Amino acid sequence: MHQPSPDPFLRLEGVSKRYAGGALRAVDDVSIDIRRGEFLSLLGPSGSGKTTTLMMIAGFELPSDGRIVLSGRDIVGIPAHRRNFGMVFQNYALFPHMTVFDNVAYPLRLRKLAPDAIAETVGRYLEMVGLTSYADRRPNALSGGQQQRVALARALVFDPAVVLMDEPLGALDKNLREQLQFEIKALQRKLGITLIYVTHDQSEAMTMSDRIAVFNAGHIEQIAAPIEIYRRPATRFVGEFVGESNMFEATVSDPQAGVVSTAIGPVRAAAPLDCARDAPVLAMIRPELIRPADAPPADNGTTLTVASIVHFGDRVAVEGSTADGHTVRLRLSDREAAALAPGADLAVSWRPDDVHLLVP
Amino acid sequence: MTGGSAWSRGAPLLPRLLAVAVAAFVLLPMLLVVVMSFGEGTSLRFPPSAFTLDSYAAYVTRPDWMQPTLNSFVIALASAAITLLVTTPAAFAFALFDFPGKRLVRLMIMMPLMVPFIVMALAYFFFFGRTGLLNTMTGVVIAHACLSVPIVFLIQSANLKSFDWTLMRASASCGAGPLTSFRHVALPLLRPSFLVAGLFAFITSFDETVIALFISGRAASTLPRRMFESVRQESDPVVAVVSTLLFVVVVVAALAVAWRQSRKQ
Ligand SMILES: Nc1ncnc2c1ncn2[C@@H]1O[C@H](COP(=O)(O)OP(=O)(O)OP(=O)(O)O)[C@@H](O)[C@H]1O
Ligand SMILES: [Mg+2]
Repeated sequence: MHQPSPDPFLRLEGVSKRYAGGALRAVDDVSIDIRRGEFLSLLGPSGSGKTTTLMMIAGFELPSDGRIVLSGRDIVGIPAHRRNFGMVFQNYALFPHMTVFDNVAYPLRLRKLAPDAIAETVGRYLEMVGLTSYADRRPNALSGGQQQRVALARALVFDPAVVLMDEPLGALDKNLREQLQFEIKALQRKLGITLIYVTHDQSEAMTMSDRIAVFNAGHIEQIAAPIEIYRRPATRFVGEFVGESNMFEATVSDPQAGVVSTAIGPVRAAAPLDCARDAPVLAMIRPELIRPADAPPADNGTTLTVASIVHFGDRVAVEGSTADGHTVRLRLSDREAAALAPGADLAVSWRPDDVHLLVP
Repeated sequence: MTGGSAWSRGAPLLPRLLAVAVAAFVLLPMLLVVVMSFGEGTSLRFPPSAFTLDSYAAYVTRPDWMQPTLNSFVIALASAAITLLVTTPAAFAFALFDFPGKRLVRLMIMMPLMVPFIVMALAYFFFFGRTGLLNTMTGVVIAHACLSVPIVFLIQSANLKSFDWTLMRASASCGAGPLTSFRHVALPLLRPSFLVAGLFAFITSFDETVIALFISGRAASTLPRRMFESVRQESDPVVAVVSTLLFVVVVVAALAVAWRQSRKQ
């Protein structure tokens, strides 16, 4: 299901969380190996169990089942405050009665560092997040982005073993969010932080993560590198949740040649198929990989009637339908779409390389 | 439609008149007492024949007035302390945990609110009579604490409801255990509202008369009890002095709160 890692630093083994007397499985048999220094995103729709999983790692929720192992030691019984994990919350959760400096100094004071060591370390981290001149302010005198930078400094300042973030940028506007994504990623690289990052924003997960764990209804559908998730989703859910996709139900017609038959005609994949003739599979083709063609080829192509054209500026979303009413989505450049109008015929094709077959 | 428009034009005036009437209704008797407190002679009379500070001097020098005053302060302080000691952990437990019998326990805490004072007074009278707590300060302290527990519990529960609990998680993630988090995060943030709750408990006790009449006796007599006896038996003008002083304290406190509030904005 997931690739075994050589150095599993933090490891979830069959972790479950049940609520309502076992009736509700918020998290269901989740296993993840997290490498030291890895940026892992937990991505999934609302209610899929991302926060619950993170809270179990943090120590704020007790798993109903399973083990959480850090460097070979089961930490399920260790309370949150002894796990030495940094945490960033969506609503910042800064201490309103303390200055920025005191907020960041708080973890160090708890660790009984000498005052000058504290001042030096806090100064260094405030500089990293660009808030040196704000040290004496109270949190309520800061913007949302600045507050989250303080929270970031507070979560990193004590050199935690793992840093956990639950939708840390969810409350910020788009530009600020992108800027902070960049800053968090840069800090994580620079400091070699092991970071588990909960988000339901797929572009955030795609751009920042080393690997993404896609959650659905409490279980993990796939854990892989972002581009792997995009190119070769393991399940229909992943293919449809991450990015746009054309998904066709198919039956295998020639396993050796990698040919399946679908409602839009025969589709040929690049590699032979590891399943029997007539086995049911799903054929997925990303919209941007379907190209306009001079004439539709015998396989891996069809003729569409253009149904709708939506301009996004940098790209054009085109929807066409086949003769028997199946919808196919395309991404074209402005130039490619220039001659198109609703109702026009459009021949399209795609390469065998661009066909991804999912065996359910 | 002239009648309708005349009415709506008059409407803003009506609430104002009402407000003035209510204020007068509340304040006039109070002012009467204030005037009487400066009166001459050994009995209450209105209007006074001459103005002196004799009664004020009498109040601060007479042990039969000073002792109940002191008693009231001690009792109110002690019962406020006991109340907070009971309600603070209770309010936290109710805010943080689900436990079996939660509703039943809540009902028990709220019970004193549902029982008429006079019934409680009688119950304490007989119960304390048997346990030797009648006519003792301890007895009054216990009774008053029971009285203020439900109200203060409600106030503190409301405060905890609006408290941002993720702050406690943030504190834990920084490495603070529950008690340390409480000391460094919850307490400083909740202290002002807890102080108000404590003040409420203090006033509840300081102001309470019915139960004190039944169980405080002469030895542990509270100020309200002393005032009640004074009015009934001696018509001593010192009672007007005490009322005036209490009135002044309340007005000053209210003004101070209002002033603080306006400065915050
Ligand atoms: N204390 C609780 N009691 C009962 N059910 C809970 C509790 N906490 C979470 N759940 C349920 O567990 C499921 C997973 O919740 P969780 O908060 O982990 O989702 P999420 O993936 O973080 O969603 P979101 O993106 O909306 O934050 C949900 O169905 C939720 O209703
Ligand atoms: Mg969540």
